Amino acid sequence: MAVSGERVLFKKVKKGDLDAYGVIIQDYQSSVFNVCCRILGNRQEAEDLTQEAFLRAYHQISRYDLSRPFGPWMRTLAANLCYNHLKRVRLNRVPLEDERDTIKDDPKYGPEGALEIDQEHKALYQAIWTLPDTQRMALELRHFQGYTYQEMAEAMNLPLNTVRSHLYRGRQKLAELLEEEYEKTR
Amino acid sequence: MKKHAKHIPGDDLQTYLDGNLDQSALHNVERHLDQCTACREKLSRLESVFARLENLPALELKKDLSTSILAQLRNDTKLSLGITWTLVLEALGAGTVIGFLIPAFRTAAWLPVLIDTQTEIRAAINIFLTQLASSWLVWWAVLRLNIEHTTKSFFTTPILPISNFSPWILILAAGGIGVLVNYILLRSNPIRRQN
Repeated sequence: MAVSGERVLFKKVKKGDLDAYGVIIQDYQSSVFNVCCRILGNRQEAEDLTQEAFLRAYHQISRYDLSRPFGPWMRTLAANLCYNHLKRVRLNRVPLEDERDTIKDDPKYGPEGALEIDQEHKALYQAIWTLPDTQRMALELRHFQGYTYQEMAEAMNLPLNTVRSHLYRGRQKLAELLEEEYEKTR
Repeated sequence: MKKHAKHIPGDDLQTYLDGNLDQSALHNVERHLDQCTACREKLSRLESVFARLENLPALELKKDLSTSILAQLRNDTKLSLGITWTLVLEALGAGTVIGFLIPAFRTAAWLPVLIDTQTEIRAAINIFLTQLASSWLVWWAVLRLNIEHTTKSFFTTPILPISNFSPWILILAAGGIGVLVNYILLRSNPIRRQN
């Protein structure tokens, strides 16, 4: 459920208050951008699709149920937008050149291990972007959006067994890619 | 180590990690895992993938997108209203052309004759309007025949006795449907600048 302050903002947005929507965008743009980035693997495209997602969300705001949290609704909209974009436009996507410096500092890790951890995460991002679109989308929905198999099938408009197969293959492929990466660095 | 001829399929291991195995399958998998090192290693690799995905740090968005999104939304609102009114005016204009101007031009050919005969202005206007009406009716009769002819050539039985309706009702209905369709299209899929 949207927290009370947000609830007030959303009521204003539903009445057409764009300034209120600006506050919502600032709160959620980073998480939406990350969804787009994980699925698309390209920063510029991810920024474009993040903008497009917020534009669509504004026009579809009447469909958003205030009794539910906005984040998952918004991220699902963005994920579907990216997925359909990939299906529609097969671009020669250029992976991000070097995301190491842009990975946010994580307080869980000490400064001495930061570089190594960044390389590890960079390898994981690269591995995710190597996967076929459907497998990447399945991973996004399951691991980052917490969908059930049934919800994934509905979101991807595919039979449940097909979606499960994409998810399993994606994980398997990811494990293999990371194994290879690990072997290289040894 | 006790050897097991049949290892757990990869799919079952993933379903196990997702927590979606039913009670009896779960029991079988756990019993097998207790006894099979190879399957435990396979499980451990998968668990590592799960953990790494869970701990994947967020990428930083380097710029605030809200300004450009809001600018675009403000522009869209203006654009949508502008387009709606343009379409309404276009529909009205088209209706006027169809309903009035075509017969009016035909009737205008009579004007020099009326002026030449030095008729009074009021009488000239009356004659002009009468001519306009009759010209319009002739024009409509021709149109009706054409519509009927076209309809019959496409359908063996006429699906709609379109020629029985008043022409004004048809024009208004067409205009109304046009405006309604435009409104629905603009509302559900607003036209905006493509990225």
